[in-house]
Amino acid sequence: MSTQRFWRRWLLTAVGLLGGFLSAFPCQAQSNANVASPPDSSQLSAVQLLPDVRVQAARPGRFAVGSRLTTLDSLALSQYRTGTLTDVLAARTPLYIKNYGPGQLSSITIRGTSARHTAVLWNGFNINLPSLGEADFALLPAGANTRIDVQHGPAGATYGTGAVGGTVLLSSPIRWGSGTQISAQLDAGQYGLGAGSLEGRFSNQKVAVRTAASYREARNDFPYNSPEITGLVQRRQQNAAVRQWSLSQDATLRIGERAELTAAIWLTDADRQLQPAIGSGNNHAQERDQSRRLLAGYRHVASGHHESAVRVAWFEDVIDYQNDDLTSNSRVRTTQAQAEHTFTFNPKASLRLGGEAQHFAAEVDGYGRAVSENRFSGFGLLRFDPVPRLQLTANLRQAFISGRRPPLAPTVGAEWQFWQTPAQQLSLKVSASRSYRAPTLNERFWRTGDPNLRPENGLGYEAGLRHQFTKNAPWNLQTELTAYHQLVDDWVQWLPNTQGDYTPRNLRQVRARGVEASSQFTGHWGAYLLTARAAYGFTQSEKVQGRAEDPDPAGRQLPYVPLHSFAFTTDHSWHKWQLTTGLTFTGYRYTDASAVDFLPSYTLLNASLGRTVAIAPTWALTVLAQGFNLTNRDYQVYAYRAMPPRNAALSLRLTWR
Amino acid sequence: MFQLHFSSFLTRTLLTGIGALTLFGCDPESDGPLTGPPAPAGTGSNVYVVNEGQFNTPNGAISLFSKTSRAVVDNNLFTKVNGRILGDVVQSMTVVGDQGYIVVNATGKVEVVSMADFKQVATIDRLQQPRYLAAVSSSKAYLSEWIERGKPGRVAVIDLRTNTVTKSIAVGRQPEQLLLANGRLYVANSDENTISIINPTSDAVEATVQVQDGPSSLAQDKNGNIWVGCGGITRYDPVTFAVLSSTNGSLVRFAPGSPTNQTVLPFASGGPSNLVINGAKDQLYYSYKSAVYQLSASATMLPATPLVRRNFYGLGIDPQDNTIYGSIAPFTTTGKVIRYQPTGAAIDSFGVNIGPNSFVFY
Repeated sequence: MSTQRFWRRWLLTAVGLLGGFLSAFPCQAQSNANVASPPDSSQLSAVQLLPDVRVQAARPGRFAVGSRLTTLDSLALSQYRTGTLTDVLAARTPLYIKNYGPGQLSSITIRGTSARHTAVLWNGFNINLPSLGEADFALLPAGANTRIDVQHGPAGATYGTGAVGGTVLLSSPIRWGSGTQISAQLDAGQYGLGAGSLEGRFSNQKVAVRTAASYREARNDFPYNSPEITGLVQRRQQNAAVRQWSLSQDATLRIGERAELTAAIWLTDADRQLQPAIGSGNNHAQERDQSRRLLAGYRHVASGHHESAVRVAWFEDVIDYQNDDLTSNSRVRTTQAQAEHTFTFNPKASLRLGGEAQHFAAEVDGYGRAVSENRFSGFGLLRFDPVPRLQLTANLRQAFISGRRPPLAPTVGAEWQFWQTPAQQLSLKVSASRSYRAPTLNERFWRTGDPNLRPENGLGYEAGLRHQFTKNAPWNLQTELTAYHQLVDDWVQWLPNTQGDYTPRNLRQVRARGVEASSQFTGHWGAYLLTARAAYGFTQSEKVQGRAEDPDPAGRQLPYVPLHSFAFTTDHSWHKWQLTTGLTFTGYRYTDASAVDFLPSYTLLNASLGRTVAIAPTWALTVLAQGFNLTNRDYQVYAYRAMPPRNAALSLRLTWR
Repeated sequence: MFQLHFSSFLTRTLLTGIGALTLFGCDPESDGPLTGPPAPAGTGSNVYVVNEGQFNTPNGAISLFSKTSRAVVDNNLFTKVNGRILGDVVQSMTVVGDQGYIVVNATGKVEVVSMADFKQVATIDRLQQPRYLAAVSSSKAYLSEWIERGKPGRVAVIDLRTNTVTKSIAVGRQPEQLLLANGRLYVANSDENTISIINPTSDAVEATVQVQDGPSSLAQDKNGNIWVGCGGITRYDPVTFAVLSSTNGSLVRFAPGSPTNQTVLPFASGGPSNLVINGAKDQLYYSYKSAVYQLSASATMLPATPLVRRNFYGLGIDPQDNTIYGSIAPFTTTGKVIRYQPTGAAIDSFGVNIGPNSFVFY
């Protein structure tokens, strides 16, 4: 290529990491998956006035009847408290997290869509980077929140822009009156891994406070095999060290019997070298990512029938990239507010009306100027349970984005428990939804961006069966099977124009369809407790039609979408012992749009064994040995990015309560 | 009762698991390594297409097209023959004697292969952004290296017998193509408006001659004149990527004996590229504004009408019959090559690998 073109591509690719159009290159990724829904996802649990639980927040699933939810609760997350969401989701679900190496850029893909098609919400606010329109899951420490809900499938009405393939909800539900708990953990592992975390919680009936801090560093100088002229040469990974910390602080104060004031802070900071590809030169790329998120909210229950909530938030996201040849800095500040009012007409019906406003102020090198944008949306969410065994929702959202109006996004869903015996229940779930993705700031304001890009829009359907087997015996089994189909239109791709500049265009229609199956078993016998989950995803995602200028062929599986993915995890505990195993299988993935080259499938096995010792009446010490990639598999998640061989870490955890 | 259910659950899970691992373990079949010579080489009937691959991804490749069978023999020849990846941004390929020198820019190496069977012979590594190679004899070659943006580049002197770098010669910024003509090596310094002239006997820069902005390609015509394709230079703000300045392109012609006595054929904007010459050395071809133009070596002005109205990433002229090869390189997916008669009439097309940028006829 010519010098000019070379540098232009250099800039674009390097900045692509920040620029979000990595998809212009070999990206796109996917997956899909799952684990059983929690039993309460469809229960009308919202606004209740109970003596103890005076103002109870609604679960995310309340207006998401008929769709599939995977929940990772604090128990599941506690094993990863010094890790990141990438580690948790990759180990415990069949979701495909496209990962450029340990601790490196990690983008999620649900149901055959790209990372930009997954909305990530923290306490109700979208935390996808406004410039990129996606989140890097390696920047989100697992211990910062205590609950992760992954809602599969489109839900534009409920969660707004980007909820096309799915939505990841991060929250830390409060347990009132649970006193004080403190835990501290230190980890040491191979390849320079050192990590620590500290969590303290206090709650009585009036105040709930939680502080969580974590630190993690790794040299990641693991050995890998490099094919060279003399054969396979073992080399040590270079330029892949990471160092990151996170601090989150939540506080909720009850004001009287009917109101509640919440404040939350979440700071994350990561300093990473960017791991080069095997066989590529090391251009000493590094990136500093910092996010500061502040949130305040007030909820008030006027009577048994009315509840109002107002929330405001301010985020600042900084991405500073540099390599041997260039630097690129980006800072986006988002100021936003949400207000909603919920009418509970009777125990069977409730309606939530609300609106949201966002103001983005961006200073991104690639825009060449300071840019600001306002977005608004209004929504109505209706939940109606005509009979106890039938739940219905109908939701609607309309967004407005600086001169552009994304499509009206309605969702309807139903869940019907049509068969029941004392031990078993069988439910049918269906939902249909229109989703949308507003253009990212990069897509609109990048020097070669297009301010007039249309929002992408998706139309999806799903149907599923859920079976629950609960006996008086100390065990239960939940199984869920879902089939889905979604068409995403005006799918944006960055392509070179006649001048050779990469520019985003609404190019194609993509069809994603597949099947998700999951089963979860829990049981205990005396001191032995077992939870086992198996989840499988079949995902077929391909371009079905495109405009003439779109060079990618139709009818081929999109790059980085495994057709098959599977996860099987077990958690055992017996007296003071605990054992966890995680087995994941990821099918082959094509690495380019022509579906020629592919990465082979791989199976990974992780396990951890721990023992807890009481060292004082209120103090306990847990020693945990963790093993990763136990079968020593040589694999790649993203093409040519080396992954660590078998490795181990040791954790010490001290808890007080 | 419980035992029954529990074991059935376990069995089911296990079956699902094993089923998944065996059934889905079926990855698409990869072709095995090529055995034997890929195609008769050295008669001029083979076309080697240089595919850059995706940037920051070592999936560059060489495609082999047989003119005889009018078919692609293989789209990843080096990997197929040698069982390993070629590298990141395959920039160019030059044949010296019966060996091919494949310059891999972002990996910083040259892979040396035997043209008869494309088997690996050597790797010349630890290079910094290498671009193009030109041999002055069967034992000595020169290789341009960018080194680093904004800083002077260099020309490495390579001993072809040992495939090692013996010395380096400092030249201008972003040196691109090299041309050996009348006992001198010409180096196009593409981030400047100069060419460096090196004496291959002393390996010293004898002169640095000013041409026009952005010289990148070089050719010598049948009259002995040297042509320099200058693309113009567009400068971007390193922080905002805003266009700071932009100059027009031009073709420059001079006789080797009097390099400062130049004929300049100016373009109305920047961006002419891919200057190549035919086998008879009397016709030049280049890309400009989404079209290919043909120019006689004796021309005094640029042609107004294009030969082919199509935007090509790479351009090649078959020295045997003047067939025009143009490549389309989308980079998100594999590219293709379209062949044209010397008159500009399309002949056929064939699919290659990702980012085809140039052609070697051998």
